[in-house]
Amino acid sequence: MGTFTPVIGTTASARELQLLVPPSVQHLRAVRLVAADTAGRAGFDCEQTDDLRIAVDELCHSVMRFASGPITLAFAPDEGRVTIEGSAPCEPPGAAPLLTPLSEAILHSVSEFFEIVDHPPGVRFMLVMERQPVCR
Amino acid sequence: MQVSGDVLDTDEHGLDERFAEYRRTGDRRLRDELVEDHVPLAQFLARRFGHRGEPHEDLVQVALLGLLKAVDRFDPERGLQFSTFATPTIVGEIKRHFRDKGWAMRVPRRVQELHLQLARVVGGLSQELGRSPTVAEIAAHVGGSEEEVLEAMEAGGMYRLTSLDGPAATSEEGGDLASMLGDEDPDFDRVEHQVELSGLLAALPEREQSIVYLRFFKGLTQSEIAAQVGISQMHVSRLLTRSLELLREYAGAEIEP
Repeated sequence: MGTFTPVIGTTASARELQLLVPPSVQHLRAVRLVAADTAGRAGFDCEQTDDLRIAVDELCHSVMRFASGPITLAFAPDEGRVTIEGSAPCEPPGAAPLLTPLSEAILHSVSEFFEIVDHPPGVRFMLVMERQPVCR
Repeated sequence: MQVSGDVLDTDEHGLDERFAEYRRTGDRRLRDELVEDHVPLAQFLARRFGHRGEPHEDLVQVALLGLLKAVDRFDPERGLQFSTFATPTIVGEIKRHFRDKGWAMRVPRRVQELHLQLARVVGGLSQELGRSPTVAEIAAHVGGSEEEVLEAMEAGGMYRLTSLDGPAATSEEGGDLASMLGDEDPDFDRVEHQVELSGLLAALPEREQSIVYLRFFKGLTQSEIAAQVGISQMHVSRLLTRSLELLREYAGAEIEP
């Protein structure tokens, strides 16, 4: 029996979670759960947690429309902020926009920052949400 | 929706006459022929839902059931093409299939029960703390783990919505939910037009359009919407989740495969 050698990422922080999901909507639930868990570790309240779930769901669903292989996601909680970065191999979307107007409106509304960009042979995306001050 | 002509217009010539004859005579053999002629349409629509983990054969069966209903209900005198009439019927049957399979198969009973408690617990804690509680605070309050609370929140998206015509859980006056929602905002049409969403949003019940609009176009938080319309934040959350799910389904039905 060989010895166990931990693999240490050079860029990922110790608190970062990584997830690899097939491009099928049935796996969005797993993505939302991990996002919610990350939100909890960043100190989000349940409403902000819900917003993060909505945002990541929308973003990943948009990517799944074109993805030809698994989506790689990294969830990083950090001092009241959650950053989610991802990438996926994609078939060329042609003239179709990567985000529908509705998806764009949702992401604008609930996140501090998001982007989804062509990165041949696929796309890369990023979503940032920050904990809101307690004044609801 | 645009699909190729050979899928939809299997026999344009004389189709209306055959439907008229079927309506007049109820001839089962003619009905079977009409169904058979449109099997490609059912298969085409079933393929649209092929990425949701259901076997294709099952979806085709469900789609054929929708096709059968459409054939029985179609009235050529209304001036619609059969494919135009049948598509929403078939898609509706497939969506109902997914909904009826529901969450009971996948969500543990404990989580379902916890989900039902959440609205009350979150409402109580929000009042007590003067802010929206964290997942950890909810877990401590219900004596469960944070994982269970997260699962229960997630389950909300799978739970069938309370009817807007049903009683409002937080209503002291006993009114229904629909009557408690706010009036339509005068700016709605303008913003809706700006983002080219009119057709899509119009697919939602009028009152749910308001909630989606307040959250994603006006930027109100769920709590603010809850206060404005007189329902709990958890209920707003469920309404939003379900509305987005519906919008996505409607949008998907408009996209080329």
